[in-house]
Amino acid sequence: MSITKPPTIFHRLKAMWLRFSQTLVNRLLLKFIGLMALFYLLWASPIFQTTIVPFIAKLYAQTGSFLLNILGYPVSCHQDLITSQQFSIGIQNGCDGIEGMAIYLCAVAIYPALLSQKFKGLLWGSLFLILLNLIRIVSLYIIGVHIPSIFDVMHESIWQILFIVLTLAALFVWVDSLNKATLSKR
Amino acid sequence: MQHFILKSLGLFLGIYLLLFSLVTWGNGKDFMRNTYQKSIEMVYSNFGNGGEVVLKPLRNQKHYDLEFVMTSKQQKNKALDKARKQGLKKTKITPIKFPLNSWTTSSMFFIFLFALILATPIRWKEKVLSFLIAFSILVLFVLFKTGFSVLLKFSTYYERFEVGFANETIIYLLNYLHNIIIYPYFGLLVVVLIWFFTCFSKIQFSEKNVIAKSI
Repeated sequence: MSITKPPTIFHRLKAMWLRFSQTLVNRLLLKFIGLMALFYLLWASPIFQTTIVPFIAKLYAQTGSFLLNILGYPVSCHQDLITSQQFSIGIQNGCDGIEGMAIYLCAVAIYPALLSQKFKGLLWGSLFLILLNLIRIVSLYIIGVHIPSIFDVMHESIWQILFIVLTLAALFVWVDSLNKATLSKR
Repeated sequence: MQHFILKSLGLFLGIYLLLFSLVTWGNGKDFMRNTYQKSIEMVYSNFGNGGEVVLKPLRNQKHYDLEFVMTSKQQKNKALDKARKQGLKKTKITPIKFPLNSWTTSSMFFIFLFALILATPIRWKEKVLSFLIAFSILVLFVLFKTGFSVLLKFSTYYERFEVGFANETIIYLLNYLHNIIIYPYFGLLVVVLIWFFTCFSKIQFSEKNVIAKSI
Protein backbone atom coordinates (compact mmCIF):
# COMPACT_ATOMS: atom_id res chain seq x y z
CA MET A 1 0.00 0.00 0.00
CA SER A 2 1.51 3.31 -1.03
CA ILE A 3 0.84 6.48 0.84
CA THR A 4 0.76 9.63 -1.22
CA LYS A 5 1.44 12.93 0.41
CA PRO A 6 -1.37 15.47 0.12
CA PRO A 7 -0.35 18.45 -2.07
CA THR A 8 1.06 21.37 -0.11
CA ILE A 9 -0.26 24.91 -0.47
CA PHE A 10 2.83 25.72 -2.55
CA HIS A 11 2.05 22.89 -5.00
CA ARG A 12 -1.59 23.93 -5.21
CA LEU A 13 -0.65 27.55 -5.89
CA LYS A 14 1.87 26.42 -8.50
CA ALA A 15 -0.79 24.30 -10.22
CA MET A 16 -3.24 27.20 -10.12
CA TRP A 17 -0.64 29.54 -11.60
CA LEU A 18 0.19 27.04 -14.37
CA ARG A 19 -3.50 26.64 -15.22
CA PHE A 20 -3.95 30.41 -15.18
CA SER A 21 -0.90 31.19 -17.31
CA GLN A 22 -1.72 28.52 -19.91
CA THR A 23 -4.64 30.61 -21.17
CA LEU A 24 -3.54 32.98 -23.92
CA VAL A 25 -5.86 35.77 -22.72
CA ASN A 26 -4.32 35.65 -19.26
CA ARG A 27 -0.77 35.59 -20.65
CA LEU A 28 -1.57 38.65 -22.78
CA LEU A 29 -3.15 40.39 -19.80
CA LEU A 30 -0.09 39.73 -17.66
CA LYS A 31 2.17 41.16 -20.38
CA PHE A 32 -0.16 44.13 -20.64
CA ILE A 33 -0.03 44.71 -16.87
CA GLY A 34 3.78 44.58 -17.01
CA LEU A 35 3.93 47.16 -19.79
CA MET A 36 1.39 49.41 -18.06
CA ALA A 37 3.40 49.19 -14.83
CA LEU A 38 6.46 50.36 -16.75
CA PHE A 39 4.45 53.15 -18.33
CA TYR A 40 3.13 54.35 -14.96
CA LEU A 41 6.61 54.30 -13.42
CA LEU A 42 7.81 56.47 -16.29
CA TRP A 43 4.69 58.66 -16.25
CA ALA A 44 5.06 59.48 -12.54
CA SER A 45 8.72 60.43 -12.91
CA PRO A 46 9.57 64.10 -12.37
CA ILE A 47 11.11 64.35 -15.87
CA PHE A 48 7.94 63.09 -17.55
CA GLN A 49 5.71 65.28 -15.38
CA THR A 50 7.73 68.44 -15.97
CA THR A 51 8.48 68.05 -19.68
CA ILE A 52 6.14 65.70 -21.59
CA VAL A 53 2.89 66.24 -19.65
CA PRO A 54 2.97 70.08 -19.89
CA PHE A 55 3.99 69.86 -23.56
CA ILE A 56 1.05 67.60 -24.45
CA ALA A 57 -1.35 69.65 -22.30
CA LYS A 58 -0.22 72.83 -24.09
CA LEU A 59 -0.76 71.20 -27.51
CA TYR A 60 -4.29 70.15 -26.51
CA ALA A 61 -5.02 73.62 -25.10
CA GLN A 62 -3.80 75.28 -28.32
CA THR A 63 -5.76 72.93 -30.61
CA GLY A 64 -8.82 73.10 -28.34
CA SER A 65 -8.84 76.89 -28.32
CA PHE A 66 -8.37 76.93 -32.12
CA LEU A 67 -11.43 74.67 -32.52
CA LEU A 68 -13.46 76.72 -30.04
CA ASN A 69 -12.64 79.91 -31.96
CA ILE A 70 -13.88 78.24 -35.16
CA LEU A 71 -17.08 77.29 -33.31
CA GLY A 72 -17.61 80.94 -32.33
CA TYR A 73 -16.27 80.96 -28.78
CA PRO A 74 -13.69 83.74 -28.40
CA VAL A 75 -11.09 82.02 -26.20
CA SER A 76 -7.38 82.46 -25.73
CA CYS A 77 -4.73 79.94 -24.74
CA HIS A 78 -2.08 80.37 -22.04
CA GLN A 79 0.11 77.30 -21.42
CA ASP A 80 -2.40 74.54 -20.55
CA LEU A 81 -5.32 76.94 -19.99
CA ILE A 82 -8.20 77.78 -22.31
CA THR A 83 -9.62 81.03 -21.03
CA SER A 84 -12.31 83.56 -21.78
CA GLN A 85 -14.31 86.01 -19.71
CA GLN A 86 -17.11 83.43 -19.46
CA PHE A 87 -15.23 80.28 -18.45
CA SER A 88 -11.75 78.78 -18.16
CA ILE A 89 -10.48 75.23 -18.18
CA GLY A 90 -7.04 73.79 -17.58
CA ILE A 91 -5.74 70.62 -19.23
CA GLN A 92 -4.33 68.77 -16.24
CA ASN A 93 -3.15 65.24 -15.48
CA GLY A 94 -5.92 62.83 -16.42
CA CYS A 95 -7.43 65.27 -18.94
CA ASP A 96 -4.53 64.98 -21.36
CA GLY A 97 -5.49 61.52 -22.61
CA ILE A 98 -1.97 60.17 -22.02
CA GLU A 99 -3.15 57.25 -19.89
CA GLY A 100 -5.86 56.26 -22.36
CA MET A 101 -3.33 56.41 -25.16
CA ALA A 102 -0.91 54.28 -23.12
CA ILE A 103 -3.58 51.63 -22.55
CA TYR A 104 -4.22 51.45 -26.29
CA LEU A 105 -0.54 51.47 -27.29
CA CYS A 106 0.46 48.83 -24.73
CA ALA A 107 -2.41 46.57 -25.78
CA VAL A 108 -1.50 46.87 -29.48
CA ALA A 109 2.18 46.29 -28.65
CA ILE A 110 1.57 42.98 -26.84
CA TYR A 111 -1.10 41.62 -29.18
CA PRO A 112 0.17 38.95 -31.59
CA ALA A 113 0.00 40.66 -34.99
CA LEU A 114 2.26 41.61 -37.89
CA LEU A 115 4.33 44.76 -37.50
CA SER A 116 2.49 46.44 -40.38
CA GLN A 117 -0.85 45.66 -38.71
CA LYS A 118 0.42 47.03 -35.41
CA PHE A 119 1.67 50.18 -37.10
CA LYS A 120 -1.70 50.68 -38.77
CA GLY A 121 -3.47 50.07 -35.45
CA LEU A 122 -1.21 52.52 -33.63
CA LEU A 123 -1.74 55.19 -36.26
CA TRP A 124 -5.54 54.98 -36.50
CA GLY A 125 -6.04 54.34 -32.80
CA SER A 126 -3.85 57.28 -31.79
CA LEU A 127 -5.65 59.59 -34.21
CA PHE A 128 -9.00 58.41 -32.84
CA LEU A 129 -7.97 58.98 -29.22
CA ILE A 130 -6.48 62.41 -29.94
CA LEU A 131 -9.70 63.41 -31.71
CA LEU A 132 -11.78 61.98 -28.87
CA ASN A 133 -9.82 63.99 -26.31
CA LEU A 134 -10.25 67.16 -28.34
CA ILE A 135 -14.01 66.51 -28.46
CA ARG A 136 -13.91 66.03 -24.68
CA ILE A 137 -12.05 69.31 -24.10
CA VAL A 138 -14.24 71.33 -26.48
CA SER A 139 -17.48 69.82 -25.16
CA LEU A 140 -16.44 70.40 -21.53
CA TYR A 141 -15.68 74.04 -22.28
CA ILE A 142 -19.06 74.49 -24.01
CA ILE A 143 -20.81 72.76 -21.08
CA GLY A 144 -18.92 75.02 -18.68
CA VAL A 145 -20.17 78.10 -20.52
CA HIS A 146 -23.80 77.05 -20.97
CA ILE A 147 -24.59 74.54 -18.18
CA PRO A 148 -21.86 75.04 -15.52
CA SER A 149 -23.95 73.11 -12.97
CA ILE A 150 -23.26 69.81 -14.77
CA PHE A 151 -19.59 70.48 -15.59
CA ASP A 152 -18.21 68.41 -12.68
CA VAL A 153 -20.54 65.50 -13.43
CA MET A 154 -19.55 65.48 -17.09
CA HIS A 155 -15.86 65.90 -16.27
CA GLU A 156 -15.55 63.33 -13.48
CA SER A 157 -18.27 60.79 -14.05
CA ILE A 158 -19.17 60.75 -17.74
CA TRP A 159 -16.16 61.66 -19.87
CA GLN A 160 -13.64 59.62 -17.87
CA ILE A 161 -15.79 56.50 -18.23
CA LEU A 162 -16.55 57.27 -21.87
CA PHE A 163 -12.85 57.71 -22.64
CA ILE A 164 -11.72 54.41 -21.18
CA VAL A 165 -14.64 52.49 -22.69
CA LEU A 166 -14.10 54.02 -26.14
CA THR A 167 -10.39 53.17 -25.85
CA LEU A 168 -11.40 49.55 -25.28
CA ALA A 169 -13.87 49.71 -28.17
CA ALA A 170 -11.13 51.06 -30.47
CA LEU A 171 -8.94 48.16 -29.40
CA PHE A 172 -11.64 45.58 -30.12
CA VAL A 173 -12.30 47.14 -33.53
CA TRP A 174 -8.59 46.83 -34.34
CA VAL A 175 -8.50 43.18 -33.22
CA ASP A 176 -11.59 42.55 -35.34
CA SER A 177 -9.89 44.13 -38.35
CA LEU A 178 -7.00 41.68 -37.85
CA ASN A 179 -9.42 38.76 -37.85
CA LYS A 180 -11.11 40.02 -41.00
CA ALA A 181 -7.75 40.31 -42.73
CA THR A 182 -6.85 36.75 -41.65
CA LEU A 183 -10.22 35.38 -42.83
CA SER A 184 -9.99 37.14 -46.21
CA LYS A 185 -6.50 35.69 -46.78
CA ARG A 186 -7.86 32.19 -46.17
CA MET B 1 -18.35 41.93 -35.12
CA GLN B 2 -18.36 45.74 -35.23
CA HIS B 3 -22.14 45.58 -34.79
CA PHE B 4 -21.58 43.40 -31.70
CA ILE B 5 -19.05 45.91 -30.28
CA LEU B 6 -21.38 48.86 -30.92
CA LYS B 7 -24.33 46.99 -29.40
CA SER B 8 -22.33 46.12 -26.27
CA LEU B 9 -21.01 49.68 -26.03
CA GLY B 10 -24.52 51.12 -26.32
CA LEU B 11 -25.83 48.68 -23.74
CA PHE B 12 -23.01 49.54 -21.34
CA LEU B 13 -23.56 53.29 -21.72
CA GLY B 14 -27.30 52.88 -21.16
CA ILE B 15 -26.78 50.81 -18.00
CA TYR B 16 -24.05 53.12 -16.68
CA LEU B 17 -26.14 56.26 -17.22
CA LEU B 18 -29.14 54.58 -15.58
CA LEU B 19 -27.12 53.46 -12.56
CA PHE B 20 -25.39 56.83 -12.33
CA SER B 21 -28.74 58.67 -12.42
CA LEU B 22 -30.20 56.34 -9.78
CA VAL B 23 -27.19 56.83 -7.53
CA THR B 24 -26.99 60.61 -8.04
CA TRP B 25 -30.66 61.47 -7.70
CA GLY B 26 -31.75 58.63 -5.43
CA ASN B 27 -29.50 59.40 -2.44
CA GLY B 28 -27.27 56.52 -3.53
CA LYS B 29 -24.17 58.71 -3.28
CA ASP B 30 -24.85 59.31 0.42
CA PHE B 31 -25.32 55.60 1.01
CA MET B 32 -22.10 54.78 -0.84
CA ARG B 33 -20.19 57.51 1.01
CA ASN B 34 -21.43 56.19 4.37
CA THR B 35 -20.49 52.63 3.42
CA TYR B 36 -17.03 53.79 2.37
CA GLN B 37 -16.63 55.80 5.58
CA LYS B 38 -17.69 52.88 7.80
CA SER B 39 -15.49 50.37 5.93
CA ILE B 40 -12.42 52.61 6.16
CA GLU B 41 -13.00 53.33 9.84
CA MET B 42 -13.51 49.63 10.53
CA VAL B 43 -10.21 48.70 8.86
CA TYR B 44 -8.02 51.73 9.59
CA SER B 45 -9.36 53.34 12.80
CA ASN B 46 -6.33 51.79 14.52
CA PHE B 47 -3.55 52.17 12.00
CA GLY B 48 -0.19 50.45 12.39
CA ASN B 49 1.59 50.99 15.70
CA GLY B 50 -0.68 53.56 17.35
CA GLY B 51 -2.16 55.59 14.49
CA GLU B 52 -5.78 56.70 14.84
CA VAL B 53 -7.97 57.58 11.86
CA VAL B 54 -11.42 59.17 11.99
CA LEU B 55 -13.50 60.18 8.98
CA LYS B 56 -15.88 63.11 9.16
CA PRO B 57 -18.47 64.03 6.56
CA LEU B 58 -17.86 67.40 4.91
CA ARG B 59 -20.99 69.42 4.19
CA ASN B 60 -21.38 72.18 1.60
CA GLN B 61 -18.02 71.49 -0.04
CA LYS B 62 -17.89 71.50 -3.82
CA HIS B 63 -15.26 68.84 -4.47
CA TYR B 64 -14.88 66.89 -1.24
CA ASP B 65 -17.38 65.04 0.94
CA LEU B 66 -15.17 63.39 3.57
CA GLU B 67 -12.32 64.50 5.78
CA PHE B 68 -9.63 62.28 7.26
CA VAL B 69 -8.56 63.30 10.76
CA MET B 70 -5.34 61.60 11.84
CA THR B 71 -3.76 61.44 15.27
CA SER B 72 -1.70 58.86 17.15
CA LYS B 73 -1.37 57.46 20.67
CA GLN B 74 2.30 58.49 20.71
CA GLN B 75 1.35 62.07 19.77
CA LYS B 76 -1.27 62.19 22.56
CA ASN B 77 1.12 60.69 25.14
CA LYS B 78 3.90 63.14 24.22
CA ALA B 79 1.50 66.10 24.48
CA LEU B 80 0.16 64.86 27.85
CA ASP B 81 3.68 64.35 29.24
CA LYS B 82 4.64 67.86 28.17
CA ALA B 83 1.45 69.28 29.73
CA ARG B 84 2.03 67.43 33.02
CA LYS B 85 5.56 68.82 33.23
CA GLN B 86 4.06 72.28 32.86
CA GLY B 87 1.52 71.49 35.58
CA LEU B 88 -1.45 71.38 33.21
CA LYS B 89 -4.19 68.75 33.25
CA LYS B 90 -5.38 69.32 29.69
CA THR B 91 -3.63 70.04 26.42
CA LYS B 92 -4.35 70.40 22.74
CA ILE B 93 -2.96 68.32 19.91
CA THR B 94 -2.88 69.17 16.24
CA PRO B 95 -4.18 66.38 14.02
CA ILE B 96 -3.47 66.12 10.32
CA LYS B 97 -6.55 66.53 8.16
CA PHE B 98 -7.04 65.88 4.48
CA PRO B 99 -10.20 66.03 2.40
CA LEU B 100 -11.34 63.35 0.00
CA ASN B 101 -13.93 62.87 -2.72
CA SER B 102 -15.49 59.48 -1.98
CA TRP B 103 -17.12 59.35 -5.40
CA THR B 104 -13.89 59.53 -7.42
CA THR B 105 -11.96 57.50 -4.83
CA SER B 106 -14.37 54.62 -4.51
CA SER B 107 -18.06 54.78 -5.49
CA MET B 108 -17.57 55.50 -9.20
CA PHE B 109 -15.46 52.34 -9.61
CA PHE B 110 -18.23 50.15 -8.20
CA ILE B 111 -20.85 51.67 -10.51
CA PHE B 112 -18.48 51.26 -13.45
CA LEU B 113 -17.77 47.63 -12.57
CA PHE B 114 -21.45 46.86 -12.03
CA ALA B 115 -22.37 48.40 -15.41
CA LEU B 116 -19.54 46.52 -17.18
CA ILE B 117 -20.65 43.16 -15.77
CA LEU B 118 -24.34 43.80 -16.45
CA ALA B 119 -23.53 44.73 -20.06
CA THR B 120 -21.35 41.66 -20.61
CA PRO B 121 -23.17 39.05 -22.71
CA ILE B 122 -22.85 36.11 -20.29
CA ARG B 123 -25.44 34.04 -18.38
CA TRP B 124 -27.01 35.59 -15.27
CA LYS B 125 -25.53 32.90 -13.03
CA GLU B 126 -22.07 33.74 -14.37
CA LYS B 127 -22.75 37.46 -13.95
CA VAL B 128 -23.58 36.98 -10.28
CA LEU B 129 -20.51 34.83 -9.67
CA SER B 130 -18.24 37.21 -11.61
CA PHE B 131 -19.69 40.17 -9.75
CA LEU B 132 -19.06 38.59 -6.36
CA ILE B 133 -15.42 37.85 -7.21
CA ALA B 134 -14.84 41.20 -8.96
CA PHE B 135 -16.57 43.13 -6.16
CA SER B 136 -14.33 41.49 -3.53
CA ILE B 137 -11.17 42.32 -5.51
CA LEU B 138 -12.33 45.92 -5.99
CA VAL B 139 -13.07 46.30 -2.26
CA LEU B 140 -9.49 45.15 -1.57
CA PHE B 141 -8.14 47.62 -4.12
CA VAL B 142 -10.08 50.56 -2.62
CA LEU B 143 -8.98 49.59 0.89
CA PHE B 144 -5.38 49.26 -0.29
CA LYS B 145 -5.49 52.61 -2.08
CA THR B 146 -6.92 54.44 0.93
CA GLY B 147 -4.55 52.66 3.31
CA PHE B 148 -1.66 53.73 1.11
CA SER B 149 -2.74 57.39 1.34
CA VAL B 150 -3.05 57.12 5.13
CA LEU B 151 0.35 55.43 5.43
CA LEU B 152 1.96 58.15 3.31
CA LYS B 153 0.40 60.91 5.47
CA PHE B 154 1.52 59.24 8.70
CA SER B 155 5.02 58.73 7.31
CA THR B 156 5.27 62.31 6.02
CA TYR B 157 4.53 63.54 9.56
CA TYR B 158 6.50 60.80 11.30
CA GLU B 159 8.08 63.18 13.80
CA ARG B 160 4.64 64.15 15.05
CA PHE B 161 2.91 60.74 14.98
CA GLU B 162 5.71 58.15 15.19
CA VAL B 163 3.61 55.94 12.89
CA GLY B 164 4.58 54.61 9.47
CA PHE B 165 8.06 55.05 8.02
CA ALA B 166 10.74 57.56 8.96
CA ASN B 167 13.17 56.63 6.18
CA GLU B 168 13.19 59.36 3.52
CA THR B 169 13.86 56.97 0.64
CA ILE B 170 10.85 54.86 1.60
CA ILE B 171 8.70 58.00 1.90
CA TYR B 172 9.90 59.10 -1.56
CA LEU B 173 8.96 55.68 -3.00
CA LEU B 174 5.57 55.76 -1.23
CA ASN B 175 4.93 59.22 -2.64
CA TYR B 176 5.98 58.09 -6.12
CA LEU B 177 3.55 55.14 -6.09
CA HIS B 178 0.86 57.25 -4.46
CA ASN B 179 1.02 59.70 -7.38
CA ILE B 180 0.14 56.80 -9.66
CA ILE B 181 -2.64 55.05 -7.75
CA ILE B 182 -4.41 58.20 -6.58
CA TYR B 183 -5.59 59.19 -10.08
CA PRO B 184 -9.13 58.04 -10.91
CA TYR B 185 -8.00 56.82 -14.33
CA PHE B 186 -5.71 54.27 -12.69
CA GLY B 187 -8.70 53.00 -10.68
CA LEU B 188 -10.76 52.73 -13.86
CA LEU B 189 -7.96 50.73 -15.47
CA VAL B 190 -7.93 48.39 -12.46
CA VAL B 191 -11.69 47.91 -12.85
CA VAL B 192 -11.25 47.07 -16.54
CA LEU B 193 -8.55 44.52 -15.66
CA ILE B 194 -10.74 42.96 -12.96
CA TRP B 195 -13.57 42.74 -15.50
CA PHE B 196 -11.22 41.10 -18.02
CA PHE B 197 -10.03 38.48 -15.53
CA THR B 198 -13.48 37.66 -14.18
CA CYS B 199 -15.78 38.05 -17.21
CA PHE B 200 -14.06 38.20 -20.56
CA SER B 201 -13.24 34.52 -21.00
CA LYS B 202 -16.89 33.60 -20.25
CA ILE B 203 -18.28 35.57 -23.19
CA GLN B 204 -19.83 33.26 -25.76
CA PHE B 205 -18.85 34.65 -29.13
CA SER B 206 -20.71 33.48 -32.22
CA GLU B 207 -18.88 32.02 -35.23
CA LYS B 208 -18.83 35.45 -36.83
CA ASN B 209 -17.47 37.08 -33.72
CA VAL B 210 -14.03 35.60 -33.79
CA ILE B 211 -12.41 38.04 -31.37
CA ALA B 212 -12.24 35.49 -28.56
CA LYS B 213 -10.94 32.74 -30.77
CA SER B 214 -8.08 34.87 -31.93
CA ILE B 215 -7.21 35.97 -28.39
